Amino acid sequence: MTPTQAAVAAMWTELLGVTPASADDDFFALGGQSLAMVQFLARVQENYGVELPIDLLFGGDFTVAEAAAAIDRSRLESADDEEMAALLAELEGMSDEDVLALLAEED
Amino acid sequence: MPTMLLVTHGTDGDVLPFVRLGAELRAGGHEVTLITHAHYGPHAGRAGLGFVPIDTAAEFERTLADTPDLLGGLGWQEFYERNGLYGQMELEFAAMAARYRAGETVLVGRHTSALSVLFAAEALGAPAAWVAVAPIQIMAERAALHAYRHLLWEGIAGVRRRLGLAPIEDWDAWFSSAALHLGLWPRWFDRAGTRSPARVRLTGFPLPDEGPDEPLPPAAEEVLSGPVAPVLVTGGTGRMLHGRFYTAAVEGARQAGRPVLLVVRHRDLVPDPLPPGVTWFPRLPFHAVMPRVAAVVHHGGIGTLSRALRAGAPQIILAHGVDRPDNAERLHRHSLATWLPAPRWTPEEVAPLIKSATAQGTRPPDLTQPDGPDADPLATDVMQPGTVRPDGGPGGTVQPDGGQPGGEHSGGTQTGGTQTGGAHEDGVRRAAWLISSLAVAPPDFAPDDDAGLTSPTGNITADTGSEAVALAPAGVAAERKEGATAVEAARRQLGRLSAAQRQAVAERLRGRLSGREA
Repeated sequence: MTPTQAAVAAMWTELLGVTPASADDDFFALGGQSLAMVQFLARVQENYGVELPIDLLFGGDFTVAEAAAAIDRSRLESADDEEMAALLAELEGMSDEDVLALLAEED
Repeated sequence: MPTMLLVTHGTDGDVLPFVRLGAELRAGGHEVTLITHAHYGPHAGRAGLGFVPIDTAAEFERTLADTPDLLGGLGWQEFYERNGLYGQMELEFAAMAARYRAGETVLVGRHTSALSVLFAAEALGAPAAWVAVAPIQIMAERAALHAYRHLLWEGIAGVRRRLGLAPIEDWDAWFSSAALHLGLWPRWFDRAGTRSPARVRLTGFPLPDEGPDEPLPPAAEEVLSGPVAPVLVTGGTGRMLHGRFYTAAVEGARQAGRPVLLVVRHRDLVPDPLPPGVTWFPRLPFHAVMPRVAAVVHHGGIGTLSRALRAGAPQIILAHGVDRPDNAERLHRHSLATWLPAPRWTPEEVAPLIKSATAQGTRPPDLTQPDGPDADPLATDVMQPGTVRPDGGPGGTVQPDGGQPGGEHSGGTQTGGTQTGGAHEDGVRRAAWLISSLAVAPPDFAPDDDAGLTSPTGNITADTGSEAVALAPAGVAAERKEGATAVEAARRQLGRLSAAQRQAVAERLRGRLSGREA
């Protein structure tokens, strides 16, 4: 599991009383209900400072992997000035070749 | 005479605070009508309130019987339709409209469920208050609004059409349109979990409402005065419980070696056959029973937990669904309860919790610690002029008797000048005072608009989550402005990147964020 997935699994264990066995385990299948999901969203907000979209609650299924990805996405979107500045400084120093190499890594 | 129209839904934890609230408002010289389930007609009658039933006893039971399925996946849409809840909204609206007197009427509804109060406030131009009984109602606002807007919108649109109201355009504004939002719990409880936003006025828990003269049944007296102090097991007055709740609670208490007083309103939920050492009652006067039991094992309902707090009874909470795990967690943070989620309701886990709670005496151990609730954990710790709690914990400025010098109440908008402090002051009394203020306010009065800004006392509204802003030195504003400029520059530079480059940047940033967590 990624660090975010592990953190999600730990929060679910606390809220639901069962530990997700894998990143594919579903919140509702583990016994979670809508207001337990509200608690989870509140904890994510406290721990990461991001508000996840509320329709996650109504999507029907929601795995550890999806939860972690949603957190990572939201954190990225709300990256603060410092993170943004560091990122840009890094970009400034990158050559076109470096950027291409970076893109190749993504594939 | 101002008239107060109160609408609520649910079971004892949702309705009895409204009965108390009605009684307080009535004592303050208001005419009060309670609009709720037929089951609570006698309660309203004893409190001297006007009463409009929104259902029949049979319909109420049918709705309650449907609630366990809500825990098991029944959709809200079907729940509303199956139980005629849209029709109920119209009935509530009609009852309010019939009793409305221009300029003299205040509408009070249970937060989240009393949509009819918002409709009536809109149609009649009357001020409305929404009253939450547990913090999860505030935490779940976004989710509830989403459900109304995307799952129940058709039913809601139908109700509004029949009432002559236009379709809702701005759902967010509509959902928060009550002039006053109240939370019937103390600030230490609020701070023990996700905090409510500043606009929610916290009043403290309601005090128990049973008449002091309700007799203890002889069979209960017999168990209570036996050689071993019993454990009280109750799952509240509803049916929205995990199927294993009562067997798990009873079995755990028996394995802990305690006789059991089992309080369950619905006979069919009682374990059958009843194990030895267990005595069942459909109800008991908790104010007389709780101080005498070794521990209370319950579901985590807000009414049950606040009564147990007041009685000083150790609490073991088998929490499943709705507000219960959140309530339980808040008590646990102050060592006022232990709790287990449903997969762990085995006798091997439940019994040791009961044993350990009962071994520590009849009061939870942390009551004397500086960061635990004071001698009176129910006391609201309303911010008083000049008294700031450095630790943010409960009870710091509450006197040993739970009261505050009366003079400290004079300036605070939260407490009200007519209140006097004291161990028996309760959240409902504060709520009644705040609601009364709506009856005398000018038509465009918005109680929260300037709270914390013009108040000379730095009252509670400035303190729930916004203290950093309120207390920030002037330099911070300048820094913020600089930050905004940096963000703009960053956005401009990002705008020059191709989509693929932005994607790469995003992935790198994500990698960095994840790396930091590890």
